Amino acid sequence: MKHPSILTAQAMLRRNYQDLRFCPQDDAAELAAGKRRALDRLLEKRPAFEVLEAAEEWADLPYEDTALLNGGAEKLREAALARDAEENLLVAVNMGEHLQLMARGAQSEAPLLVSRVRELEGDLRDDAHPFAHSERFGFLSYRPALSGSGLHVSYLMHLPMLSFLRQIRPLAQAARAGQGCLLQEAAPSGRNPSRLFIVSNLGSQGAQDLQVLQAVESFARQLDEKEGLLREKAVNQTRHSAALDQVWRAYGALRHARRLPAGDYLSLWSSLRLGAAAGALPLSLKEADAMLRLAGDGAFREEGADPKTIPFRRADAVRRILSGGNHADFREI
Amino acid sequence: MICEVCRQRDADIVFKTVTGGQVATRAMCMKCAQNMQQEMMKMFVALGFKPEQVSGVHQEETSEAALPKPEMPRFLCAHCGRPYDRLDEHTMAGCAHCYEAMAEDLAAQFAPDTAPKAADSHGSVRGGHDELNLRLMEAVIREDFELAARLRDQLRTRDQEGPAE
Repeated sequence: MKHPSILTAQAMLRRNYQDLRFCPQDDAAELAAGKRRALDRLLEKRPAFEVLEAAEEWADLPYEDTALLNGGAEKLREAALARDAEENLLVAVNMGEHLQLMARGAQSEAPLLVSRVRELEGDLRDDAHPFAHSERFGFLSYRPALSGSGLHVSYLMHLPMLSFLRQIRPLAQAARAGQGCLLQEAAPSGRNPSRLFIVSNLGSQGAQDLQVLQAVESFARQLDEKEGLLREKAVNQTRHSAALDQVWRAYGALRHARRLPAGDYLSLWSSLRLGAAAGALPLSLKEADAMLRLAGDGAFREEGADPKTIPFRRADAVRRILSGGNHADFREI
Repeated sequence: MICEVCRQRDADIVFKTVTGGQVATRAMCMKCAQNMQQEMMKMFVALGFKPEQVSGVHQEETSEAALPKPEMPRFLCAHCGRPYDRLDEHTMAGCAHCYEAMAEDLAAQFAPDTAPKAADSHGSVRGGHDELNLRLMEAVIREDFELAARLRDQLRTRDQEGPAE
């Protein structure tokens, strides 16, 4: 499957410990015990993981990773993130569930990502502290509606045209009712300048992994088709196209900007990617996708560097890329 | 700002809670706030408090009809103390034992046809996204607002006549 609107795929498993109360509670000692247990086991089995316990450290994560924190994560108690950057694996501890195991990769890799989180789950399984499970309802979540296999497959999608035409809400409602899928903004704050959205399954009760994969992939494919149709009409089939004007304006602004705060950058990046997807710009979709990494401050944070200089560094990096150069942190997603 | 409980609706209010000397704020939508308030009131009533004590309103100051009258919850988890009345998608379980209280409702909710489904063979997403709607979007893109208005009126008429098959 190759669909221009899809940036990345992710597989996630939700797990809770049987003997501990679920996360939305205030007993710091119990939350800390669960965190220690999870991280000790993880580092014993997978020493390559790097643990980020302080909320300030999470800001250094790539932009795609911070989207899953869904805002307000810094207010959570005894939460932690562990990351294996090489393998693109992430473990969230005490963020809603005791454990959320995630693997991210290219859109075509979704089945592989499922098997990788299952492997990780196997390493974290501990007979002394089993995961909460019931014969009837599968693995138990803090939200009973989410119990089941605990598998969530999601795609990060760029849907500027459907968003511009205010089609996201009706599509989300239809998908929730008809296909058991969820369509939500990838930006936690409610402001979504990048027009990035996350498509995933709503629940996993009674569903095999393959069913979950097929349902989410099918919905993502439909969205991609609709977005592609609208993109084609807006950019390539309309003689005096306002959308095409926006694309070129964004390209010009990014090529010459001296200062790019993250919000401004995401808004311009969205138009740039629209142009790249439509083949209207001298920029490949792959390059445009890789530029999303520059939205996160972590891409520019250096030892002792003043955070106030980040918007300037971002602008420098973007100018270099769009004029044919490169940037040290510029990698493919 | 998004509600920190359901993480779906917009937050309407911000709660401040003090636990162990630490002040924490939580942004919530009205529905989650109401659910949380009801759960807390039920928990207090289950512990032997009177409704007027829980609500913090003196009985002589307020008419009886205006006072909330929480009933005892159907279940109270003996392990974590979380009350449980009914199941919806925002219901939260406090621990694995809570599932025993919810078992019947959960079994009803998780009927075999609730698993995620792939789209039909035509690949269509329902909910008004048919040909007419697509033509409307196309007209908006082309900035042909006269045509867009006509199509919008047609859609409205069709919606008033009844939902599409």
